[in-house]
Amino acid sequence: MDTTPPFASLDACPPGSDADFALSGRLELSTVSALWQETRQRIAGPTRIDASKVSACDGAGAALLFDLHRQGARIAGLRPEFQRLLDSLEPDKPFAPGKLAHRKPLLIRAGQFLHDWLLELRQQITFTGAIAADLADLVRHPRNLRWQDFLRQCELTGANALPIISLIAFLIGVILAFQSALPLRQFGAEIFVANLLGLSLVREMGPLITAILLAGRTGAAFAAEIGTMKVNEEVNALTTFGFDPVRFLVLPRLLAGLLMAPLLTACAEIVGLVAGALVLEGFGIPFNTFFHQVASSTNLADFVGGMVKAAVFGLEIAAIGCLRGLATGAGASAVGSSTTRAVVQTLVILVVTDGLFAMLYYYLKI
Amino acid sequence: MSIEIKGITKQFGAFKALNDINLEVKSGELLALLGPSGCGKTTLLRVIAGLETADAGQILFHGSDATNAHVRERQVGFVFQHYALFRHMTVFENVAFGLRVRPKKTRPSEAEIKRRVHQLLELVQLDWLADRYPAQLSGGQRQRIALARALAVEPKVLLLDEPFGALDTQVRKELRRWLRRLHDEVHVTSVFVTHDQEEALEVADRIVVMNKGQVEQIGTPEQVYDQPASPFVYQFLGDVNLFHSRVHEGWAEVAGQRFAAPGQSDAGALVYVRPHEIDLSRESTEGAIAGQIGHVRLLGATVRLEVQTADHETVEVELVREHYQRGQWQVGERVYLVPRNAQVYADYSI
Repeated sequence: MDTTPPFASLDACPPGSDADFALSGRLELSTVSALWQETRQRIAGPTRIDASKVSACDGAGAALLFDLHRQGARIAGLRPEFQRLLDSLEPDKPFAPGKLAHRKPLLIRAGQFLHDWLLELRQQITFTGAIAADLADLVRHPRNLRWQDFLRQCELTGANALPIISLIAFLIGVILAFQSALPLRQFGAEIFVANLLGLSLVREMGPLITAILLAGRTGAAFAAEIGTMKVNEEVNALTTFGFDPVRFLVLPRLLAGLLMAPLLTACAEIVGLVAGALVLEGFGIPFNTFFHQVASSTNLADFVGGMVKAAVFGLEIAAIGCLRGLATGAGASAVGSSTTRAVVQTLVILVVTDGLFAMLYYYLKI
Repeated sequence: MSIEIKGITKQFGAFKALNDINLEVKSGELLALLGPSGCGKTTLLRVIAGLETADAGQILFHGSDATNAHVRERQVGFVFQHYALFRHMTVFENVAFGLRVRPKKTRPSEAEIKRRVHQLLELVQLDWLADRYPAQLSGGQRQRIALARALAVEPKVLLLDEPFGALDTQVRKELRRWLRRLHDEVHVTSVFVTHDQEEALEVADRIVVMNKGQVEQIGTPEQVYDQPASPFVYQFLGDVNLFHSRVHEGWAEVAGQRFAAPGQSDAGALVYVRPHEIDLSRESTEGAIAGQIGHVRLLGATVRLEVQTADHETVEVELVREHYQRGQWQVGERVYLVPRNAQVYADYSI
């Protein structure tokens, strides 16, 4: 067994011979690092290297030869087994360009963005159409709905959300009443807190607060639930049974949203008003007076306007939640991202719709 | 019911998932779509089911065009790789689902549903689990329930997408035998997708080997295994050793052995030899490949030896355990390799 430490060297060849340099010895991990330094200092540009005296070559050695080859050196006389090692690195193949360095031009990216956006728009329009068609069909054949599912969704969306919505409405009522009562007291006008509270809760705050809570609670749940079914291929399983997922999964949720949002809003309004009444009781205004004042300042149109708005909100929350659920891609992480998108999209749509309603009601003089 | 697939092509963006697929599924047969992942086999199954639409081509169900038919009109039963059982329903409700949701005219009575479901649960030997929820079952049980659910609607075609892919080896072996028996009992036209060549060889009546969106070979398990149509099929159906040779007048020579390459022109050729079709010997014979035993791996009943040849190639040799022990082969020993059988492909490049 050879006990001398592995050795490799780079020697200059006498002028006139076939090569400029000769590599010899064992090109191995332990010898290459020192040799590499040397080659860097001595070899530059196209040279001819005689490698016939290389007696061993491992991956590190091949890397050195690869590097020399890249710099333009012609390596000759390598033993076939080492030559094969070098060839497997494909030294003549240009490096693949890095991905980061190659960014697509702005125009292409803009086009791609537009393309994706249009695809999504198409998806939304298709979905809206499917819902509209199914709703129209439902009006003609109400028995086609799975009423059991509808009732279960009503319970989940409505009844189960009641405590949290009451709590928030109560706090909003207290805060609004208290904050407005303090400045109004300077003018002895605490009684007008009732007008303020009544109008703002019935027309604006009631529907909006309920809708925001529903978006976080129910819209996200719809997206996650349907998204999980999509990922598990349960949606496809439904399809193979001849089921339309929109009718089976979306319609009950949509109707539950449509019905429960106004009911929850009405509850929120009542709880908020009671909270305001309690605060004003502390300011010396009795319950009776408060509710009389509320009744005289708000009319039926205000209330109905608020309810219509709440119903539309409920519909939007359920529809976006279901759409995002059905549009879920593959993999468990897709459920998370579609849930997030459902909530964010719903919140944006809610605010936009609220603005549109404000304009509509202004022109209708409600 | 027979299925005819004519020129089906499907593209996802720039990726061609299916490229001009033509095949026929005979009535009552169990057909396996076999191929590596990404070869398009699942896409083809979904196109047959109607869960995907093809870009071009035609699908005929029993001779009538079903290319644009909706999933529900095709009356297929689909079994998914990850079961896709409805989690909020019991096993009984899952199996009954397909029947209960039918329009009133075609829906069987509640008593009839009950009878049918129990019959199916007996068929899959899980009658005692009727009241459990899917989450309370093992993977193998879930897949059998999924199968019962698919069979409940009396589908004309049963499609199975890697039905045993998510199960462990033991359960998988048991289930595929069971599937074969079940198919012999119910005789519904079935197509199942798998990447496991053993599974396909054991269960299917015929095998379709696919690669890169194309059909490589269609045939019975014996045909596909014994007369592979291309190097790909040969490689995919088991481990191989590759030798380079030349075809000369219909014969290729490897290690002193001549192998027939009938009808192949004189050219460079690839010669494939399966690891269990190589003999080891200590005595040199004319042209035998010399080598040195590198690694020895025990794989239960068989032993796999890696032999380093003089050209620094590695050849795998598989021996029966007894053979290995009788030969007393040692690591580092010099041996000679003689192939017993080989498959020659002239003019192929890899």
